[in-house]
Parts: sequence; structure tokens; C-alpha cells
Amino acid sequence: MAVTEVFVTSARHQMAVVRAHPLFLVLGILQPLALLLVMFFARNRPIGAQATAIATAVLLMSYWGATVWQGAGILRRERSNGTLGASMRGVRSPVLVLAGKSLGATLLPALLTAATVATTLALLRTPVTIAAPGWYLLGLVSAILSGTAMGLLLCSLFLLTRFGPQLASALLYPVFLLAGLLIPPDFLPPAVRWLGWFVSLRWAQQFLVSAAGGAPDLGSLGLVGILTCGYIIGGVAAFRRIDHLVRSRGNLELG
Amino acid sequence: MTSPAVEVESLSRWFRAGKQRVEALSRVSFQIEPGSIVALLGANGAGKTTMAKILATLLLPSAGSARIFGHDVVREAAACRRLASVVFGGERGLYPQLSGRDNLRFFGMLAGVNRREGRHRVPILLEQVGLSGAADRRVETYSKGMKQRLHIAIGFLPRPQLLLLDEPTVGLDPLEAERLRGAIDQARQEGVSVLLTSHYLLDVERLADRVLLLDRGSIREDLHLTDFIRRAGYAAVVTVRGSGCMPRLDDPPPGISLANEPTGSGSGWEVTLRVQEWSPDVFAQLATLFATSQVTDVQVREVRLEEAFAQAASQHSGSRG
Repeated sequence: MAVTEVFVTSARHQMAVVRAHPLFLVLGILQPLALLLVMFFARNRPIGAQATAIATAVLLMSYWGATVWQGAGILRRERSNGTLGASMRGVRSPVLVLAGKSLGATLLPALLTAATVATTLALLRTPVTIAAPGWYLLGLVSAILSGTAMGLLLCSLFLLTRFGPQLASALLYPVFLLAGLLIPPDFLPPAVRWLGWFVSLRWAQQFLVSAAGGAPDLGSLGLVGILTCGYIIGGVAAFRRIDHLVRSRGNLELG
Repeated sequence: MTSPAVEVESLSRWFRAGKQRVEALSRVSFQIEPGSIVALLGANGAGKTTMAKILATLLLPSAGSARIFGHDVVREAAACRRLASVVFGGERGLYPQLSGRDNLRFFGMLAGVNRREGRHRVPILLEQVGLSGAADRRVETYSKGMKQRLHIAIGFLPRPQLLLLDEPTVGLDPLEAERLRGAIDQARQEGVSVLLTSHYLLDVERLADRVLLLDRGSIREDLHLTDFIRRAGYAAVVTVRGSGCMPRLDDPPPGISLANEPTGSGSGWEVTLRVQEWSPDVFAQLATLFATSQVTDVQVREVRLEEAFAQAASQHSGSRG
């Protein structure tokens, strides 16, 4: 069976799981709508480049919310359903299956978020300008892949600690701030500003805004790629640690 | 030469509980020949599930080795997973928010069934386990028995050469349980080997060729089913009912013993005897015993597996004490 078939089947499976719970409507419609309205009216109905920057930030914030609430909880939910064992003893690579699920967990809210943002902007009669749409699209795809890798890392880390749900809540807004999605990163205290370097969304945001302005910042795109690779390496290592703990100590509950 | 379906050698598994070491399995050795059904019996905590998890490559052994068709469960886990299917059953282990069909497709993919084969096999298996009508309903709406049937369909989907079945008939009604026994027997005839752990001794009695008795992590008995049943110490139980005076049974003949104290009231009595081995003499001896009594009813049944199991369990707990 081809690698892509395993990946796509896992992603479609997770999309079906996500679709079965109304949380994806909150993440894909209510959250971006609220964020967009607040930011637009707080800045007195911006237009042009400023509107594009805000729409981009809302897309990324909503996507990060979906990553934390859907992607990062995959393995904990698998453990709670008693299906984790089957995923880990399958003939297919458990990491590949998990990566597919991680993409599936966030793809539906991401598509819904994009539709919500586009519809809201149309209703507000607020035009956005994207000077390099091809680069902008590439940036969005990179952000989604980076979020998938982040989901892979977080869901493995959250299974290794009993404080997964608390960590998920604690990570949400700090990442918004560190990535510069709510306020410019320069506004952060120097003591924590450097942490933003490790958040790929920060560089994705910079690249998307630059692409929208017509001068794509390829350095930022490169950093998104490097950080994504780092998340993948970390995620695979954490997942292997889980596999080792389960098989050697028998101390994680399995089906 | 064909490798055994399962080959376990001096296998041990221990867990840490605080500062204590708890031994779940201790130097267990056995083999399962291809195409045979072996039942693993034992009380709760005997180590049956630990054994099943090691063979399913979900747990590493602490010492010793286990091989499936010659493949080591530690070093060649992927090869073992291709050959063996495991059915732990129960209410969990499924995606409750998805339909039975979607569950079957996904678990099939995990087990290596490609999309084309899945499209062909999934409807057949749903039909075989009687879930065709509910295939597109969410699993959270299924009864316990329906979930169990779905687990079994998942186990059969990849056409395994070895089936590890843990309590396969739990939650099934008698008709469904019988249908499942038929399916397992059919799989055996097609060459599939089965390791069956069950508290339902009827499953074992109907299906198993051999019985392994696990007690506190060690194999205490490894016998063919008929030999194991013989461990009860008798071949049959005879229940005699009558009226009038209670027969005198102070000194029964050799080969016949009282199963329990005779019961009776003014109007009738009941005596239960154990017959060690059938022979023409036994009938004559029984006739002599009740020659002066008014017998109204006689019932004879073969010894049951549960009686052999109880006898073996009490013998081993006695030897420990």
C-alpha cells in the first residue's frame, strides 16, 4: 500500500472524527468571525494592506486554535477510546498514520476558517490586496503543513504528561503573542521575545504579509521549513518514546 | 520444516509496583501448531492478558522469547503483526462517533488491507457478523453484542494466519455466540491457528484442541482437551431420584463415589454419584446399589470442562498452600 494512501486514509478518517463533533464549527466559524470583527472594529475598519494583515493573522490564529484543540489531543482521545493500541500495533507506520490524522484534524477547521474570513470580508465590503497570490497560497500551505507537524509533536508530548489539557490551554494565547499575531513582536519584553523565533507561525505570518505586499520574504519561508522539520523530528522522537514506554513498562493504558 | 504458529520459550514478564516487582509471567513455555486451537485458561490475574499482549507485540517480554511463525515478537514485530490479528473485544477499542463500516475500513487499513480489497471484504464481513443493516450507524448506538461482533469482523478482515482471541463471545446472545464458534471453527479448517482466552468454558469445550492452564504466571497444565477433562477424576455424573426409603450408600463399590450428600424429604430423595470410568460392570453395580429403592428418574451426563478446571485449580491452590 502506497505511503500516500495510508496518509490520505488516516487524514480522511480524522476528518470524519472531527466532523462528528460540533467543536469544529466553533473553531472554523465562531472563533474567526469573533476575532475578525473585534480586530476590524478596534482598528476602525482598515482597508488594503492593513486589512490583509489582519485577515492573515485571523487565519493563522484560528488555525493555531484548531491545532491545539483538535490536533494536539489526538493521542489522548485515542487512549480514552481504547484505540491507541490498534494504531501502534498496525502494519502501517504509526508515525505516518499519526501525521495523516494530525493533518485531518486541522484541515476541516482551516478550510472553514478561510471560507468564514472570505465571507465576512465580503459582507463588510472590505477588499484585501494580495499582490503575489501564488506565493501567498504557498505560504498558507506551508503554514498548514507546519501546523500538522506541530500537532504531531504536541499530541505526543501531551500523552507523556498528565497535564495535557492544561498545557493546551496555557499554550494558546502565548503563541498568539509570540508569533506576533495579536501585537507586533517588538512590543514584547526582550526577555521573552526570543521565544518567538521558535514559533513557525511568526515566520508564516511575516511571509504571508510580505507576499500580499508583492515582495515575498523567502527567508521567513525558509525558517518556516526549518522549524517544521524540527517539529517533525521532535514529534517522531516523542512518539518513539511513547512506543518504548508502552511496550517496555506497560504503563500507558492501551485497548 | 514448518515453524510452529506460536513458540514461547522461558518467557517472563514482570512489572514494577512501587519498590516491589510483580511477576505476571514466569518462565512460560509452550507451542501452538499451525491450524490448531489452543485455549489459555486461568483465573483473573493469572497472566492471560499479559501473554496475549506480548504475542500481539503490544508489550515487551522481560526475559525469554516468543515467536510467531518463526518471527521474534521483539526484533521482527512488523512481520508478526502481518501474520497475527488480535481481538481484545469489549466496549472500547472502536471509534464511537464513526459508523461500523468506517471503523472496519480504518482498522483494515491499519492491518494492511488495501482499498480495493477492503471494498470487497468489508461488506462480506459485515454480513457474516450480522451488521449489514447497522453498518452505517454510529458505533455509539450499538449494543454490547454488536460492538463485540464488530471487533470480531476487524480481527478477521486481514485474513490472519494466527488469531489471538480474548473472551470472543462476551456480550453475544447464545445464537450469535454459536455463530461465532462456527466462524472460528471454519477458520481453523482453513489453516488458521487460534489462541483463545476465555472464561466461557463452553467456547473452550466446543473449539479447543488443547488446554493450557495458567496459574499465577506459570503454566500448570498443558494437555489435550480430552486429557484435561479427565483430570476431573471421573467420566460422568449420575443423578438418581426416587421415593420411599433413602438408599444405603455408606460403602459404594470401587469406581463409584458420592458427589455430595444425598438430599431428601419424606416424599422423595436425590443422590448424585460420580462414575470414574464407564464399563459394563458399572451398570450392574448401580443396579445393585438401588435394588431395594423405588427409583423414579435417572439422569446421566458427561463430566464438564468446568469440573476439570475447578479440580485443577483447587489442586494447584492446594499445592501452594
